[in-house]
Amino acid sequence: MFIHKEKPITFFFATDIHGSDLCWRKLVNTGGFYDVDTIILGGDITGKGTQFILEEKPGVWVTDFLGVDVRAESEEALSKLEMRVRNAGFYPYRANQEEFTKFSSSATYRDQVFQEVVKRAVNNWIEYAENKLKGTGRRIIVTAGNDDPEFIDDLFQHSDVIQWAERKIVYLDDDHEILNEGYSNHTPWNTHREYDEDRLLEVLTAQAEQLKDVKNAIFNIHVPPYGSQIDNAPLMDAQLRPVDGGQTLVPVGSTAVRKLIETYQPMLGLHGHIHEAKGSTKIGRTICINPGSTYGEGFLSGVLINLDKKGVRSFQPVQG
Amino acid sequence: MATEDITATVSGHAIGKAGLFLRKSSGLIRAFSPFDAFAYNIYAVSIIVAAAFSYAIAWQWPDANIPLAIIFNCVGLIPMCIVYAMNATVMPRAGGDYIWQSRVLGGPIGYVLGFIIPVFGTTFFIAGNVAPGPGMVMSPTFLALGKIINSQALITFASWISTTVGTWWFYVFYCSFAAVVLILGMRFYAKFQKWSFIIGCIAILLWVGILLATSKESFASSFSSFMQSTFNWGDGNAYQKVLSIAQTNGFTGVPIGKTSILSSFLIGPVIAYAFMAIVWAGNLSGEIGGLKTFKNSLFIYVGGILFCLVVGAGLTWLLISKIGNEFFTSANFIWMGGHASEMPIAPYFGLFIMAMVKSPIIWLLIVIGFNAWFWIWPTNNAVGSTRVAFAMAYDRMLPGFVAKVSTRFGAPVIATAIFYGLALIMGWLYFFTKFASLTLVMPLMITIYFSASVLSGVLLPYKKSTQKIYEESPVSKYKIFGKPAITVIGIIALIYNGFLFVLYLVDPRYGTNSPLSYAFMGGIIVLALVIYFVYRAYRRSIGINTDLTYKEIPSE
Repeated sequence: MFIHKEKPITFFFATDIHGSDLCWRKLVNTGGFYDVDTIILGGDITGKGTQFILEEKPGVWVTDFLGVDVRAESEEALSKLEMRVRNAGFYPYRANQEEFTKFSSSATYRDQVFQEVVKRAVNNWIEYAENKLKGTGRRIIVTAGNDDPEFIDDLFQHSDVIQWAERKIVYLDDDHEILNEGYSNHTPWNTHREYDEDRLLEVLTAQAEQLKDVKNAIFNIHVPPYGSQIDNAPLMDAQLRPVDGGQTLVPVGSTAVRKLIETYQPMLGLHGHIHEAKGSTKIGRTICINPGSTYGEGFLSGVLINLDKKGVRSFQPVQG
Repeated sequence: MATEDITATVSGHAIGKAGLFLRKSSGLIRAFSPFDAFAYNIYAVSIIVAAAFSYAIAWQWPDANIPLAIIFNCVGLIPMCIVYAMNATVMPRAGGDYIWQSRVLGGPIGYVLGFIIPVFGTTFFIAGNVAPGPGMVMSPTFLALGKIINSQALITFASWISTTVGTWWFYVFYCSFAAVVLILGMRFYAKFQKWSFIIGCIAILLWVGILLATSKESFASSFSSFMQSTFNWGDGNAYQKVLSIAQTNGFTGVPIGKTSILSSFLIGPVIAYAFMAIVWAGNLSGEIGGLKTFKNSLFIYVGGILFCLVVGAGLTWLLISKIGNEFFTSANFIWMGGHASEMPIAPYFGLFIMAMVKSPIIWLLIVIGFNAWFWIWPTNNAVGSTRVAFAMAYDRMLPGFVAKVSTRFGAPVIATAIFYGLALIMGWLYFFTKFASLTLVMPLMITIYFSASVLSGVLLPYKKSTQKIYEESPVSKYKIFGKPAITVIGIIALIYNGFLFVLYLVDPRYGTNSPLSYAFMGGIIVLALVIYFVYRAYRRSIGINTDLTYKEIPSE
């Protein structure tokens, strides 16, 4: 008897890189490194803060970086410092004392600067990706996460190799559609993209109804399903400090996402949001994966996934 | 949402100087604090139980000065601790040793070492870790209880529990206890560890107080009186009888003033068996907050070894100064030299401290401290092993069910059940067959395991895959003679570990240089390699190339 072995389609998924320049460069390079055509980046792509580097006097720059006083007295030293800041997931911003006074006293001005540095960083990311991927047939599908301000939606629109997919249905190949959603249920931090569970379910259901073949679809939803183990986070007290030395884990995922997956049973769920809850689980027939995130250390945590027409053939977590 | 070390990052904002300004976003402090990890490491060493066990084994070097040996050994281990601290700062990832070794030295090496030591090894040497418990901790506990409630049955039980059969049943009880602790989850474990540490440290102060209040002259009569009244043993001169039993069987201790510096140095491997475990928290690197700050890592590892040095050497010196080195080493010889049956109870130093006071209530307080140091120790080993098993399962190099966490208990029930079953089998072999002699090879294997992580640190700045990570870490600024400090210090650490390794191989007193030991060691390495390559082939057949797991993604 002749047995036909269908060649699987392989793609790479990572998430929650939080502005890390190093993780972005690694992500772009996964295409060639793992020989995949499609790279999916889950949400929480923007960094968490602006690193103000003060020009103390002409040619001398100072800042407190991660609790250490750093002094740069040459352009080369300053560039190295800025690279370290970017690789750690923050945005360097150089300015003089006058501007620092304004920056540190005005939240509005800080937001304005933050938008500016994010735009600059994203433009650099796009330029890097275009240089690396143009003409290779490879592409990156990018979605948002709850930590991403809405202004970033416009930044990724104009690239030949990056596809901004937030709240859109996109195709992995002829057989597999991808649903993309960055909003999460409420968090203690009241972040940029949060909904009540009812509203989240409504938004997700509306997208799921657009799918042509939901059983072969991929749900790329930033927040993991509630009670799935890939949504376990340390329990915190009212001051947002972990209790029991962080040993007590509680599910913080979305009940709406769980209900959606239980109802529609896609082949695969791709999630992030909870960095420490890396792993995989099954809800009915749906394999749900959270590759976790270690962006702060400069490591890209991801997963290589092999699909065929029947479902997920295999998957392989990688980190590097 | 994330585990972030934000305490360090907000400093610029908090004190009004140029620094990091965090925006509105999710984040919290990482799970395990550096202090938790510090305590965890101290328990891995078990400076009271495991360390004392190693002192007892040292009877074979009668002219060694144990406190001095502890100082030599702890100082010798400091370079390794520094490299571990640097490794943890450069690559603070869950699975620690396994990740460093597999990413720098290669997948097969990381897998084999990880499989042999933390995964398989824990079930293997838990019997060796629990074995001293009945004699060192439980006998004195039941003795104190028997005295308080005036129960001869409990006093008889105190003697029985340190027999081979008694120890076996205690071992079964202990494994069941450890399994329940693991299934109850980390919340219970963390509380248990915290309170054990507090009680254990208070107990050390109590023991020191008792030792300081005792003179050398009064100890001999106190001990003799204690043994006579409690066990009707020693004809009123138990102190001398201990010395006589040892002499009759060919052992003569020497006064501390006549001990040899060379022997104190050459018993390094004996002391290292306990103290080397100070780097056991390497496996938790992914869960400890603040490791990116080098001083936090140093506190965990170097602070840990210095704590052990002070407590281990200080307490042992104080004890020996009160009971005499001849008596201490003779008691160790009787206990570990195959003559324990000539005494009604194991002559562990807990017993000696109890003999210094007359109140059973104080006895109880003394033994509560010993219990605090004992009960958490073997369980602690098992916690580290689950981290590596999880890392391997995540790499798809162990079956996924190993890492499956029960929804009901929030704990790895299947992994715990496997651990429990294997531990019971290994324990039975350990207590009732010649298998125990093979476990002597484990200290040698552990030396290799920790040395492999040190070697990973040595190579970190030079491997193409890790060079960039190293350069961007705070560790890269430390240089010695223009070379990366992690490399230079790592080479020094490897030289000391190499010295221990050579002693294991050439000195028959360690019991590791027999053909049987070599065959056993080779056998488990081959077994691990076979599992690695069979599993790799199986994964490849379903489209997973596990080699990719161990490769670092290029950033250029």
